[in-house]
Amino acid sequence: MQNESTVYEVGFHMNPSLPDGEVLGKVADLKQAISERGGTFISEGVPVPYELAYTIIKRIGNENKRFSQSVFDWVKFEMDPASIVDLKKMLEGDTDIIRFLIIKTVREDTMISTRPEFKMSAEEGEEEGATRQSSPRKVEREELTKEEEEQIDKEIDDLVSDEEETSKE
Amino acid sequence: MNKDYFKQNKIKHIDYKDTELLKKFLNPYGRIYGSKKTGLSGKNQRTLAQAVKRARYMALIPYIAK
Repeated sequence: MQNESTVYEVGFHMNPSLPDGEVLGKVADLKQAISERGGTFISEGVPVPYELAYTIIKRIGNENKRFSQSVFDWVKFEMDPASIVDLKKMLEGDTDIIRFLIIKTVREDTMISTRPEFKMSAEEGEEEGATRQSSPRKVEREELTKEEEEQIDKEIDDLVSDEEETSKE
Repeated sequence: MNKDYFKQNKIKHIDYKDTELLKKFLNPYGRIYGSKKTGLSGKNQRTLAQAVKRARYMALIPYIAK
């Protein structure tokens, strides 16, 4: 069996306290580490300051450090699957990288430039039961004619009068 | 009949970094809508779920909102 290389993408959050020059240096170090392990660089993103959705806790030394901001970047590359474990270990040991994710991906650009409008299905309510209950009620109201309403009123009056008579006795 | 958003727009790969796209398929609490509501095929619904889980792990979108 041939040893084929796979396309990977590593996304990572860097420590926001790093100066701009060091951020770019970190990305350059990562790219160098990839090429040292026989990887071929495909594409990369731009380091962007990012407001995290929740606080990430990272153990650095003997201290739990909390991060609510970071600098996010990603690199796409092609590498032999056997070497990716080594790269993962290297990233785990880097204290300036708060969190990272290595995924298998495709060579093409996966980010879409234009996002067409998305319409959620209006037929399916959040609770199906609610829609089912509401529809028969409407039908009942529509079916009632004036004659039927008068008949029901009469029946109710008769019942009330019967009850009054029994209470008098 | 609701149609598959990704098939209609010829989107083959759902990127976890594209949070604006992913948020279209999340309710205000950050939970993924079911396939009945999204109208996605089973395969794309699973791909979407994987992308959302990756984005959550990377703190790009919250696990629980509100």
